[in-house]
Amino acid sequence: MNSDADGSETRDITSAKAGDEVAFGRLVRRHEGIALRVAQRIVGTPQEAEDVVQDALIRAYRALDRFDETRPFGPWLYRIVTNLSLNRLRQRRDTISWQGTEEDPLPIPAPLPGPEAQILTRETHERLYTEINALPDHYRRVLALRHGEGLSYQEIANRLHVPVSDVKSWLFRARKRLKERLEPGIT
Amino acid sequence: MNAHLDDETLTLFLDGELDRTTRLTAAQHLMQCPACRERLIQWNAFFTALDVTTTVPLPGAEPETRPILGSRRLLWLALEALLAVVLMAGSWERWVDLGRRLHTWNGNLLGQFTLWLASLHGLESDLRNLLSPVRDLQRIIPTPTAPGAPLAGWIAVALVLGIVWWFTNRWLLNESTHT
Repeated sequence: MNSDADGSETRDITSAKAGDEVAFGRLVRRHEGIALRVAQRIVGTPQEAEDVVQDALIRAYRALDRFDETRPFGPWLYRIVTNLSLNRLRQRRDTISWQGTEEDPLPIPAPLPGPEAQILTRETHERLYTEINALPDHYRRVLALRHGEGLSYQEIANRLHVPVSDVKSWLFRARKRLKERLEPGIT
Repeated sequence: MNAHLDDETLTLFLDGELDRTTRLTAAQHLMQCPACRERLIQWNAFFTALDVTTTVPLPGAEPETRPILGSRRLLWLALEALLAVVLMAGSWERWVDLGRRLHTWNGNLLGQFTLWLASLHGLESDLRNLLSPVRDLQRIIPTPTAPGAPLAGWIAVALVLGIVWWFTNRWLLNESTHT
């Protein structure tokens, strides 16, 4: 699950920094799936998420010469995606008035290792899997339906024949418990 | 919105479950607050890890998702219904007798109660006869209404039923929940 277990990502970053577009293409294919998920959670729609990720990839490519190839590429890209997604939300000024100005969008983040750097390591995946299986049944169910099948709270409530308030409460408690148990591994 | 966003709001924001106005207000705060933005990034990373872990099971793990009412669950329900029919049919007259006595009120509470008890005792005898091939069970579980140890008998029966119920439910929940 580690995105650079064999060092290929580091080689691709080095090549991409030297102008190899094919190597950058490999980096994109490796990370764009997760980047789309990260963006869609914030902007809401797949179309806008695709736009944001495209923009993020262009900005990442332009900023690549400042990137330290010994750092993991994915977390840096996901931060760019997060900032651009929030910028995108701010552009929807038709419903509320923003206090900030349009001239100060969130910047491209520095390529520092974030706490999410380990999100997809093999070890983290195994620990998380073990912890999920140790949760009560109803917590595991809502997690599987939300994260595995991508259902909304209302759809989960319909599937399990419980109120939406229960789904909301169970999901939050399950995630909170998992996050606390896994700290400082991935959070 | 000057106060920091709490974890529940951040998770609802990422799940797209905030109403439109609250969502945009939260987004506005996130643009201006590096601390909350950092926590949002952490939650988003954690959600991604959950997505991957719940979508791509580890090798050797059970990959199958069963519906809550899967085929085995239906089979169990059918078996339970069949057992109920057999039990009813095996002591039909007793059930009818019990029903008749429950409907007939003779004004004497103690007398009525004794009649109901007699009917229940008859039902219990019929069920025991129906289960007579299970000699070991009969030896282990004393007759619930036998003189001398009625309470222990009922407790034993309740214990066995409770254990069977618990294991069956655990098995059914595992069948429907495991991915």
